[in-house]
Amino acid sequence: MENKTSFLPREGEAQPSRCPDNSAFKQQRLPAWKPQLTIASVLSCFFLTGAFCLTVGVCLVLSSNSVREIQINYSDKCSNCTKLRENSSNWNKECHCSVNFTLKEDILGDVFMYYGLENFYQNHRRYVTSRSDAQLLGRNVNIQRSKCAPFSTYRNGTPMSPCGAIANSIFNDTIDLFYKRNSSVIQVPLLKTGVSWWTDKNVKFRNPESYNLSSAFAGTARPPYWQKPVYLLDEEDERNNGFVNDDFIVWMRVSAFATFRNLYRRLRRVRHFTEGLPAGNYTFRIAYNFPVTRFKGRKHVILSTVVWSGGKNPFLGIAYLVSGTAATLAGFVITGIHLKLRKKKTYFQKQ
Amino acid sequence: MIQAADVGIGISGQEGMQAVMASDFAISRFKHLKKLLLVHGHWCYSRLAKMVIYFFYKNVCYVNLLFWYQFFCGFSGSTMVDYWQMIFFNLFFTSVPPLLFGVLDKDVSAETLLRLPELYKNGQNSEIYNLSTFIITMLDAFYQSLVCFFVPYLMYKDSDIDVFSFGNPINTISLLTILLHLALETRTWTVLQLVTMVCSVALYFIFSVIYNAACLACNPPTNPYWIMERQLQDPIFYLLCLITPVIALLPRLLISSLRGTFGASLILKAQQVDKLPKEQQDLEIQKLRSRKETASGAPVASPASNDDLDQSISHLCVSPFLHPAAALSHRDTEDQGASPSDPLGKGYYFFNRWAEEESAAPDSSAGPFFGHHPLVASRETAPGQDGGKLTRDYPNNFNFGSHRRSVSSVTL
Repeated sequence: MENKTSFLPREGEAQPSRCPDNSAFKQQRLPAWKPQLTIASVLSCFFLTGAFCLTVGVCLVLSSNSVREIQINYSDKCSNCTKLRENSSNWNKECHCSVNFTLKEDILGDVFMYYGLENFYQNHRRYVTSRSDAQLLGRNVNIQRSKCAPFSTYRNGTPMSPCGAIANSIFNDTIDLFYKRNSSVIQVPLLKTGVSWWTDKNVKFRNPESYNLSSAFAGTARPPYWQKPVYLLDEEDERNNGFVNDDFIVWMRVSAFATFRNLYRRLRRVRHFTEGLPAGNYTFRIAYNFPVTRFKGRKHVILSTVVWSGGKNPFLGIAYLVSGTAATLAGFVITGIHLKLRKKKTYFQKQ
Repeated sequence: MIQAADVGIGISGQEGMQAVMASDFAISRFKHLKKLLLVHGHWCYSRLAKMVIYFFYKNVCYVNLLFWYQFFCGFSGSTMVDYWQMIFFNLFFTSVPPLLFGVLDKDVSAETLLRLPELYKNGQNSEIYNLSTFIITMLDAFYQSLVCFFVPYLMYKDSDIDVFSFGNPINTISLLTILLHLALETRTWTVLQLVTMVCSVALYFIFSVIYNAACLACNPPTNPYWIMERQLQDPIFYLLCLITPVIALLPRLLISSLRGTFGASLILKAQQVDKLPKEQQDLEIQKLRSRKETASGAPVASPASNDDLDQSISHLCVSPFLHPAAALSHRDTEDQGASPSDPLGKGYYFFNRWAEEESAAPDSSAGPFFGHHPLVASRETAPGQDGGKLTRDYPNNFNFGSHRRSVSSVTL
């Protein structure tokens, strides 16, 4: 297409050209690629996609089926403790509960123990914002300016450490596992540490600097629902005490849904448990502190192995299998249509 | 005196510049009006309409993700996506590709648009942006947001995922889905569009990685420290990002393929003509025009006998993807009505007259447009009654054109 001709210059005058530039961009002549759908490219695309999705789907389903998981609802089983905790004036009364279960087969590999909560909305907007990350970094901050209210200071002005509703409502049941072996009951060795993210424990949560931990938190008080101050969370291990306590860090990482689980302990593979959990009779001994009846919640304890594809959730594998089947089927349908129309063409030519 | 119009086009000429100064568009030759209207007018409408519909779709799709989460957070208004990543989603990561689409995309090539002036009706009838296409786009946006939310949800429910680690793959998946949706709509890929699309995704990942590594306490309550880095080490994240856009875009892909294969609109046929090699394009365009005229009842010059047509059809049946409509077409060009009094006929004669003028004008370009005016050529060469009929009726129907050469401004 010829360019728009410019205005003819008058005699003697050299008029500046008002034409837009004759560049490819301004004249819309940029070289462009138009995707051409040929039969070869379309069919290979569909069949390759189908093959890939089917392979990945099979791998995912197999790996999720290899996960061993035992889930026990103990708030229903420990009904007397549940009833005791309904009344908050019983807060200083201890309540212990035992739950038995049997493993028919060994669980081999690393075993993880989770506690699960149901109907507890950790993802509520006001709950999620009720924390002070600057305080948890060990900085000296004015808590009044954070969003921890009403869990920021007491009436006499003492700030809470840690502040906020998330920290205040920390899960405080204690769960121990016992194994019945040859008519003696031994405690299964469990590790408290290594359940939180490395970056959380070493970067995002830091204790305030001081010569010892209790002086670091001087001038602050524990949150109202806690029974111990934060520097007594784990008196045996200094690296697991204060803000960097693993259970505390795991709880502060608020869950996305109302039914969730948090990693609690890991199996320590020593003595009889080097291969995993052997088959037999087990007992959970639980110090029941966390009340759940107010919000119609339930509590579980879960023992599970983990694989590269997460936990015992076959959904992604099934999604891949379905997509792979659909893609392969579509490929066959397109091949059929193509062959049918190709025959029609020869029919035309003979006419 | 013309008081109202949709657009004013002024032609600068020897009568002066008054029309140009009062108009929306100015051209220097009357013959440029053809390209302005048929090519640029069509492209402008199609680009703008598609871009606007795409922007509606993009925002509905993204915001609905936040809505679906409300069912699982007690309707408290909690967002699972970090605030800054949400803001930049619309500002940086999905803003440039649609703008470039609205500037550069050509859904039908310029040559085909010039040879098939009937395509201009696509804009006049608002075929791209009307109530039905808007509703379909909204439904598609709802469906895609459902998929982009619920596939990760079903994957991560009952696990120990936290709020912002759940929002991160959702954000990534929706970015990929939205950009791939635009990729499906783009008909001509320039280097610029490809580069901006790739750079948008790369910028998203780079920004997320840097932001998640730097922000310890800068943005409460999310403070997404190390969330993206952790997800990038998780194979499940990649598997989710692969499968979810596929599931989300599958219905749209399916429907556009079906429409491309079995659809009967003129735009689709023109796009299929574009894909053919040069020699077959002219035959196809002649067929399309004669079919259109048969449908509208105007007299037409038969371009070739039926045997030639069948042969040309069989040559064209290379693949059902290229031209299935040709495989099925078996048209009879002999029975034609002769009623010139219809809108298409009117416009048709207008352009016919113009085509005659242009071919008679000394500076008409003969090079790449040798098949530009098939009707003119066939009128001269086609034997028989139909060609003569056209010539006979021609001066009678000239009145419908009703343009005067000396008018210096044309309004439409």
